[in-house]
Amino acid sequence: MKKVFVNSKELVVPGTLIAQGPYRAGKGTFREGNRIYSTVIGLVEIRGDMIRVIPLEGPYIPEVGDNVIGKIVDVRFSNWAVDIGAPYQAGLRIQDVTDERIDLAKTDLRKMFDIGDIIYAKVKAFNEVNQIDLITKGMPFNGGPLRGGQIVKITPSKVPRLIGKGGSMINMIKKLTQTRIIVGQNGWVWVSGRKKELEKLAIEAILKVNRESHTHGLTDRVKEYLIKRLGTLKEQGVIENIPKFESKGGESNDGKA
Amino acid sequence: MMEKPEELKLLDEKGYRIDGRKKYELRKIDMKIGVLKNANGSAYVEWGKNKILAAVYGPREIHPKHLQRSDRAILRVRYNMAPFSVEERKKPGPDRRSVEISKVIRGALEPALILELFPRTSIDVFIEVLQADAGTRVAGIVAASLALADAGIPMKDLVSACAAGKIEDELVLDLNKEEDNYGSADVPVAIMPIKNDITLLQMDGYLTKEEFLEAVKLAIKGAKAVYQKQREALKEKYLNIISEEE
Repeated sequence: MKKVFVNSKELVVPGTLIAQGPYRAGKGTFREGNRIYSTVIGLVEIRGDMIRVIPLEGPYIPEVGDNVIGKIVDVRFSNWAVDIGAPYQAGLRIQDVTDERIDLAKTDLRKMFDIGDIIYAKVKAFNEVNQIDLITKGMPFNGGPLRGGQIVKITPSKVPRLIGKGGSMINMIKKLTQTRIIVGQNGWVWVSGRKKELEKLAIEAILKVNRESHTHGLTDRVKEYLIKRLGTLKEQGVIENIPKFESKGGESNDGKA
Repeated sequence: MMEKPEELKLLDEKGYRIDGRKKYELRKIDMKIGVLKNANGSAYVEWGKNKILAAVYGPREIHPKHLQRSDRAILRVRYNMAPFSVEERKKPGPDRRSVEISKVIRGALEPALILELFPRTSIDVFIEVLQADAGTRVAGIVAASLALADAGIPMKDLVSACAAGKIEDELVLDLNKEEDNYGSADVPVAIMPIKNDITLLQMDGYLTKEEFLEAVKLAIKGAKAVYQKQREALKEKYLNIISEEE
């Protein structure tokens, strides 16, 4: 008795019966006897016999290799405590920051990263006791700290949508608003623009993607929105001209990268 | 249960209740999801004259450390009534009644959550009663379960709840304040509808065994109707965005 009760990409809430029979219950689902139910609010994804629900809400669960944005919350003797928006605090050790030999008795670690600094790091390990280890060595600009700009927080599961297929969405926002944007897998996004108005516009676009991530034709709508807003900014004399941006085909079909 | 004033009739000759409902009719229920910006999940429920706000924070690390469970998250629930929620001003802060209700609501929600996924953390639920008109604990459970779903916390099922009771020697569904005060029994029930699990069952007043079983059946029926409304309300938040934007 093999049967699926919902369509692919359908919106489900916790406790919705998705399928019955020899399917595999992936993330966002659980099995009860012969049946598979959803555990979160999200969109159903059926690939072969694997059934998953892509959540629309929920906390960030780290995975090894994720690039994340974090905030230093404590400086300790030989390591830092970092908030990355996960249920657990992450740790960053001195040997994961630099290859230099550091004399801990003589060096003030606050000169490297101080409390409140924003860093760009990679998840090095996430173990059974939920200890999160970060590494900044080998990251762009050695992990920061990122100066200036603002942090926007979005739902972590919507990060692929914000990036778009091959970076289509994020590159468009960057280009049109002429801002520097770094997206962390944890849903924290660093935005820095030369002009305050453009920075604000980029943030609005990011939040629009966050809010409407489950709708169709989003890339086109965000583009339309940005161009309209840039038009008014041009009239107000904030910017001189609207940057040109040509998408490379197939944009309306934006899937989850 | 208070002494009923002589002239008050909770059921008229045609079988209508004082607010115009029939015996097995629910009050009007309105649910809104995601009403608080800073909470991880939130919901606002208007159930008849009840107005209830629920907020969920977490999963987050807790201190002191001895409260942590190394194998699962802990669930903490606070049910609180605003001083202005009832006719006679309620003294602020927890009292015997709200501590008990917090405890039973925690018990009602816990079986639905998959707490093993977040060891050493806590999930905090705050239920604020802004206006009370009987049945606040079931309305609180309904709101809290919506807020938990909105926070994206994995759960096996939504928890739904409803009360049944006895007025003028008749069993009725979903008591309002007058019926609760002057009726003879009140039976709140919370369920997880997929497997028909009962997660909360209380009784205040007097019922025979047969009446009690009948009341529980009635309350479960009511809760299942509420369950459908909960599911629709959760979906509505996202479907509204689709219809607005596409």
